[in-house]
Amino acid sequence: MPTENALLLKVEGLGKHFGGVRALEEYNLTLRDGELMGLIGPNGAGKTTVFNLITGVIRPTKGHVFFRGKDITHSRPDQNAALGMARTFQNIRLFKQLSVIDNVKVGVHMHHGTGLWATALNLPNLRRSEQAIEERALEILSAFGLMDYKEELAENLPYGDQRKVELGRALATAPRLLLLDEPAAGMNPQETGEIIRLISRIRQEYDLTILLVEHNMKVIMGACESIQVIDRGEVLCLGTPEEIQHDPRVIEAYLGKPKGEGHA
Amino acid sequence: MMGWNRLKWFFPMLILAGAILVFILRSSVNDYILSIICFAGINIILAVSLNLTNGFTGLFSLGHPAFMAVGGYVAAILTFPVTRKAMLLPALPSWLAAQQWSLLPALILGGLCATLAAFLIGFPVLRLKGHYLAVATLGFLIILQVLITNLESFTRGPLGLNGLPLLTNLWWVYLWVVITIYVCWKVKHSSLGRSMLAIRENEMAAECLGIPLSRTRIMAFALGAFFAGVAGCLWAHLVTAITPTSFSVIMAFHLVVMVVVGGSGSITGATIAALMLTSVVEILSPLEENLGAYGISEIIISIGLLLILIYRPRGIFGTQEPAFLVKQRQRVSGEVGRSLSYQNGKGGTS
Ligand SMILES: Nc1ncnc2c1ncn2[C@@H]1O[C@H](COP(=O)(O)OP(=O)(O)OP(=O)(O)O)[C@@H](O)[C@H]1O
Ligand SMILES: [Mg+2]
Repeated sequence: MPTENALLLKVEGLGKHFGGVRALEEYNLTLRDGELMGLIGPNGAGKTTVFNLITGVIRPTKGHVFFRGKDITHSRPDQNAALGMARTFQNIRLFKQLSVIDNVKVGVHMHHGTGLWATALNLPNLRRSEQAIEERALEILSAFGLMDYKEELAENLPYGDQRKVELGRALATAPRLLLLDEPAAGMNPQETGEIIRLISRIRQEYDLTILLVEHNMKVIMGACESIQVIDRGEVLCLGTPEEIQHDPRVIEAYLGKPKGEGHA
Repeated sequence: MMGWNRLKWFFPMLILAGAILVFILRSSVNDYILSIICFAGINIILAVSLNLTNGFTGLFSLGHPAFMAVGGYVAAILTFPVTRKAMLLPALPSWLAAQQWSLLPALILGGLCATLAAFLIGFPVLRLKGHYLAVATLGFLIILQVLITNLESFTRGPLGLNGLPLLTNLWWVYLWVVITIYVCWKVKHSSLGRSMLAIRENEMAAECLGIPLSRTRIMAFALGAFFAGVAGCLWAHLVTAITPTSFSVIMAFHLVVMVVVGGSGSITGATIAALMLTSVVEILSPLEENLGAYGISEIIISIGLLLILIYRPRGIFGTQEPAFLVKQRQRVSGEVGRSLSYQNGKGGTS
């Protein structure tokens, strides 16, 4: 475990209430550079809420989030993205009416896009910026094997490829931290294998720190060095896949009370 | 980069062809028809610029006529001959009463004032979505009408300003049609336009990819308002009169119809829809008078809208432009797609 690496993300005492629903209580998390941590828990445990709070999509009721040394508790998602945070969504959120390449290009906008004046007046840097954006988008598409779909509308892609486009689009922002919310949901075993390989490949190539939410135990156990388990908005435990698999609290919460048996 | 060549020539040629057409029309067609063509051009400016908000960014605004009114009144007060101002607007501050501008600077200042108005109302209003935004912008239009009616020393209240100099001609309209389409085309096919479309398609995803929502929305809204302001000036100096009700809810409806029929986000679509709608109104209005059947054109427009919504819910063109106008761009994409490495990896952020 790369514990000596620099601290990238620190979440302290985070809480979120939706009216009377306590979606999250006293949530803590520490991620160091280069780590790949799994986040698991039964349905409604609060995993997606954690992602929404970290990225700034929703505001916490209490607690703090620090990213790269900055307090980002009250930052907007676009500010967090600019700091190097990217995510995918549990229910895919592509720009359906845009082509695949345009989806990815939107991810590059932050780094190379031009403002209104340069665009409207067709200043020379518009052409350069468009070229930089195009090159970067094409790099990602070819790395993801999506070149054939380049001009296709995103909504016309098969489900598995839509997930890939979403991942590629997130990578286009050149993130330090990648939050993946069930990237293998709804995929067949073959596609699942492909996405696992893709994740470990991009992690190496782009030096990413990843927080991975996944219901598929094979994915989680195979890919992560450490796993955090939450249940009903509270952290149950944190450990290696081995430790997690044999923790009685996890077995009870995650696999249901009646059966105390192990699992894959 | 060879792919660019054809387009590089295509658009200047198109502009030139348009200019020749304007020249021919001006020397062959009577004033009545010329003025109808001018209205069609003004509608193109309006529809294409409304597309920035309603089409690209997915903000359902009904406020376009309000920005026309701002631009129209500002320009009208500035171009009004000093002698008429002394007669009709005796309470005008003396520094204003002494102004008598020519059309172009008045157009630009009118447009800028509309932009300013868009900034002022944009910040509170653009937080709203869907029909809330539609209602809020409609409210703005009505508040503005009341304001204009009551600012009598500047606007002569409900009587409005008449006898404005007839400064608008087909050349001016054509110039601004070209500028509007050019700028909107550039925006659409650039990173800025893509981020607007991204907001329309999925706000949360766009924001999480680093697109600042309110800034981008305001930009679309304000840029659209600029062209609406210019169109308002052109309109006022074509009709040679302007009243608080010149820019009405009906007009807002017509403009939205143009965007929806043409296809939300399609510049070509908005242009064609503006031409179609102007023709329908102009062809039917003598009929309405002859038969005494007023309102026929509204009914026909509404039925047309319903049919489009039923059979082609995304409008004539959807978000797309006709293939022959953009095909070359895509071929360029293929030529650049050679480098597989990812040299500037994380350099962007750290
Ligand atoms: N916007 C919201 N308004 C009200 N309640 C919400 C909202 N978002 C989440 N919740 C509630 O918070 C709790 C945690 O939800 P969350 O989506 O974070 O769970 P999850 O762990 O991602 O579950 P799943 O595995 O099904 O995706 C649930 O009880 C959910 O109903
Ligand atoms: Mg979830």
